[in-house]
Amino acid sequence: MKNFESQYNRWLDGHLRGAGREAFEASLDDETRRAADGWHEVRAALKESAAAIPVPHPDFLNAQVLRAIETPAPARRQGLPLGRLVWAGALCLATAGLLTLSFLPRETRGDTATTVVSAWTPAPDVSAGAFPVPGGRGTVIWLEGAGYIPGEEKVR
Amino acid sequence: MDHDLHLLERARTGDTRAFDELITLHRQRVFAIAFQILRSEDDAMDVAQETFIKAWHALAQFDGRHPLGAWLRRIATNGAIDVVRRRQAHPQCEIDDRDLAVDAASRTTPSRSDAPGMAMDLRDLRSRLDRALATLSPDHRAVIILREVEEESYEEIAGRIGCSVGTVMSRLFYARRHLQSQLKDTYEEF
Repeated sequence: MKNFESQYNRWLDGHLRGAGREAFEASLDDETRRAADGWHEVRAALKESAAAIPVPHPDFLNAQVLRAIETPAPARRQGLPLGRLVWAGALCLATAGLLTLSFLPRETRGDTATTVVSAWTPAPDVSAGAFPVPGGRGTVIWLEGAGYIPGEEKVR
Repeated sequence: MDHDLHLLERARTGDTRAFDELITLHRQRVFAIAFQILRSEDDAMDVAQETFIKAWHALAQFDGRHPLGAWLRRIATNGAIDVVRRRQAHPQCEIDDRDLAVDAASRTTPSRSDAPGMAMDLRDLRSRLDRALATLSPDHRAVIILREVEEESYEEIAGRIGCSVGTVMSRLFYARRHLQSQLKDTYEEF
């Protein structure tokens, strides 16, 4: 059937020549050939029909097209280009860093950090700690658990 | 044709008045080809508008190897085929080849009617043809319009609608048979 469809179309369009055409036409009955003759009228009518279809609102069509081409294209949606995005990201990071530093409690900074240096006492219930004073003005030795420090003892 | 080229050259420099004249010269055929495929005035108007807008933006690409009218109709048929594809994504009522299949007897033209007064002139034929075309699916209409009106080759049609030549042959065959069947009372009078 597929072959017949193809052959029929080619025959109707006048593409079959010579022996192929004769063989195909021999396989058709008279009425099919007459249908082909009728088809030529349909084909002509199809073409004439195309030429006779009116545009419903011709001036409106012109106006719409002209309006579309004369109106400047709307600006592209303003998104940040990649370069600007990178700079914006870097700026955000820098700002976040500065904010973190400025809000960081000063007590936790290096030069004011609490540091326990060492602790040794003969009494096991006594602990000692050393706390440097900011600005290098001295160190506080904190002894916990000692009721008193004998006068002859030294802090080493 | 020369007038087309003259207007085209002016339009290429940005002269919208010249392009307006080109629209006026070609709008009927552009609209008609879209309407013949789509059978909807609204859709055909949309396609016609899009055709001219696309053409305006592509004027620099028009190489003049074919007439301007043929180029515009080609844009229009591509637009109409796109609409058909979009419709297929949301199918409403399609006719398949099987729906168009006709029995063996209809391979032949019916015998001449004895009833007098059945003769129809070409205008009547066009009117009946119009109604018969409306009963074809957009796919079949597109193929038969591209073949019979635009006189494109089977291969060109296949390329345009994105299917095989075999499918084009099949659609063309069944569309022709369907129209022959619908119009048999008409063209037997010729």
